[in-house]
Amino acid sequence: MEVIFLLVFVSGVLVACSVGGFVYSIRNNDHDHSDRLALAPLRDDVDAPRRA
Amino acid sequence: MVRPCVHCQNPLPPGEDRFCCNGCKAAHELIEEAGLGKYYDLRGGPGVVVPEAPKRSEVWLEACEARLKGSTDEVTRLELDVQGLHCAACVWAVEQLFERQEGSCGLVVNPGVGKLTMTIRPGRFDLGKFAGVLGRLGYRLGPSTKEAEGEASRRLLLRIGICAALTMNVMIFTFAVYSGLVEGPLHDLMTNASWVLTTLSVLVGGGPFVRSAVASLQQRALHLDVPVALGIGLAYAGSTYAHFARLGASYLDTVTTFTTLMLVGRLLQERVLERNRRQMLADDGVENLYTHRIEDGQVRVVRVGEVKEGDQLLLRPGDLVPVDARAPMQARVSREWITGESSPVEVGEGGLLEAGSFVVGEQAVEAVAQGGYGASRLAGLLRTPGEAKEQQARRTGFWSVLTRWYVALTLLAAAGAGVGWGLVTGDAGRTVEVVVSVLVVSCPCAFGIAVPVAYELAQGALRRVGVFVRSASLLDRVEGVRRVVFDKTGTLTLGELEVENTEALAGLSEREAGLLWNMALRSRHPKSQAVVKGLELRGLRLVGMQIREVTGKGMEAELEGERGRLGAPGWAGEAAGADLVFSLGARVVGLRLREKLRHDALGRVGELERAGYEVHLLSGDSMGRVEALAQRLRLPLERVRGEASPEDKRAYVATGDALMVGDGVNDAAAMGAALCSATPAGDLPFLPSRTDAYVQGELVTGVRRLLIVGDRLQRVVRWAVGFGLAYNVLAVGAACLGWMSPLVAAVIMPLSSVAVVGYVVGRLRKVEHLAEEAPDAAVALAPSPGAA
Repeated sequence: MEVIFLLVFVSGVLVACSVGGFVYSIRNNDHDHSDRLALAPLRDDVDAPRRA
Repeated sequence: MVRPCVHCQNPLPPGEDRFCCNGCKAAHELIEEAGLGKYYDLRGGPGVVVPEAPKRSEVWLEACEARLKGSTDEVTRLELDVQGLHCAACVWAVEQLFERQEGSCGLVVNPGVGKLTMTIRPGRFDLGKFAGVLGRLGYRLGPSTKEAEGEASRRLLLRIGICAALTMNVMIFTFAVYSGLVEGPLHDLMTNASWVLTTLSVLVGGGPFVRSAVASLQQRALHLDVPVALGIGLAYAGSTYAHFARLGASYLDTVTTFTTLMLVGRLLQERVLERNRRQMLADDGVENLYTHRIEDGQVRVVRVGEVKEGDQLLLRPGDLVPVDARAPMQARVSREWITGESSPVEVGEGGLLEAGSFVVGEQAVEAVAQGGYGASRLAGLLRTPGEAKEQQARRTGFWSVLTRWYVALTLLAAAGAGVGWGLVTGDAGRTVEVVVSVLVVSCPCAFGIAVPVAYELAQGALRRVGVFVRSASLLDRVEGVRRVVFDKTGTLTLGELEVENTEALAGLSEREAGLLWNMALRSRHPKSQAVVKGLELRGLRLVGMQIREVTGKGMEAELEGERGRLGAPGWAGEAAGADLVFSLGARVVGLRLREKLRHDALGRVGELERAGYEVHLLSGDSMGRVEALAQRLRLPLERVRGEASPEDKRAYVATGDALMVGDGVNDAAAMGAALCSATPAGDLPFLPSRTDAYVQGELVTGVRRLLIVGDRLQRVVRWAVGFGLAYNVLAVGAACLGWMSPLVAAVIMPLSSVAVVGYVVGRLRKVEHLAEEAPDAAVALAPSPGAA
């Protein structure tokens, strides 16, 4: 039975870590790029010549 | 059958066989040349209409290019704002065009914010050329000034993330209790953990609602957030009481779920408006307005805010005159933006160039500033308060009236049930249970979630067709629109001239047409430009010849011993009713000119009229021109007003039923006074940042779509709210009588929410196609007579 208490504690730590990660991500404006990342599949078949 | 435009699929105007306008032609040619045919596939339909607009100079670009030229880095990063990104196809096209530029290394397009981050080789990358190429597809670049995600929605997102994580954990813990774990140390652990997490969730998620509720009570106005905050607070208090009193009926999971869902509804409302606001180049365009100042013989690019009295300015063709300035030489300016006059004005030596005019002559003008920007008329015109209308709409609108009654009745029912059950039974636990049931079952999910979803769908649909809603209450206000008032120049007309009697041009021989074209091509006068466009399709060739300009009269040339003239009637030849005369020897041809209409003006204005809206024409231009346009649009003359000052315009639309559509700073006061306002997304962002909506693409079509979608939205919202009220009457009644436990209430409440949200989504999905699918939809949706 004690292991369940331990599991609840561990899950609590994991929740705290994930919330912390989420807060860090939002503060760095990562979510601003969600629209761009959603369009990433469009780039798969791009084979335009580059002249750089 | 009318053939559609190859690019945008709009019907072709008479006489055109492929494109509806030059903007679409240029965009399609660019797509073809660059091999970007996939653009149409990605859009899943026609391309975005690229409206023709007068070309203004972009001095900021010079400042940016100068910085790039001075860079010694091999590779550098440049961040710019971009206007006009609608969808995936736009992003793809921009990326493709960037990769084809010499000196390009990498590009990150952020469509959410409207930003480009370019990695380029400064010595090889031609920024001006890239901006020009994007301009052909309707995308405009500007200096990077936009902020990333707004602070309000970022905080909401944070709260949602935290509340969602807490809610999921509370549900897991509660699941054990629902599954039969009713006592023992593990049960205590689960319920205590649930209570702690719920407390955190209420503290984090309930804040915005509590603050808003307190603020509305302080202003003595009941807002929807009042029952939401009370529902969260009382459900939490009741569950806490039940938890510590070990009553066995704790609804902590309901509290956390409800809080999270309410936050999601709030974010939906905030996000779409923030995005639409960010899609324009910059809200405060003045910060990005530059001009040329002459300092010690050197020309420097400076912000207009830095211009002081006595500064020597160099104003090139296309430049905005930022402050009142005196020019020691003759100049030709357009005052269209500040007065609405469509014809250019000649300013004599030593004359005053008014702030807000544009230089349209062929030569740059040196002028001395008569004052600083802050004291100029332009700055005064741009200082238009925009938020007052929004606040007023919130206080007196449909929502305010509805919520006032809804909130009062719900609270009265909960209080009545509490007092009644307390007095009759004397059982505190049972009384709390009934009160919680009333509040949970009556919680306004239909309003808190379905209505924001409806607004998000409507605004998203409008955005897909190029109509960007900036003001939260616009879609509530458009329902009251009975009159659509257009400023003439820039909204219904393009500010250009065209030849009306095209048969006169068609009747010219190759020799005559060749001379006429060569003379017209060498002049930048708007009348000559109209002739050049009229002869565009004849494939004429540029020939070297002596052409003389006679000031104030026209152009003169010799062709094989014969004298040719193009210019004012009387000087070039006599022709009755002509605005411009061409003569070659004894042959005299009179040309009548008229203002060029926007492509969609003729058809769509008629549709607005048939839909029951009164279309009015209100312009600062001369009465004759305004009446001529009204006749072409078949508008009754009593709805037409010319030579209107900004004050006249303001008085004309301040009747509480007008949608003002304008594009000049002289319209700013009228836009503030009208019920709603809209403007085309032009090259200068002042007005779009002060109106309720701006339209990218076909303006009149956009206005019509706005009215149709606004009307459909209000019908759907009314139905959803009606359903919500009917449900609440039945459910709250049952809960007051004690027939409904909080658990049943917690099940019924989300079911009702899902039903009403499903209805809203079904009715508003792809609502932007309403006007196209059913040509008479506007008629069906017309305001009922006397509804005003």
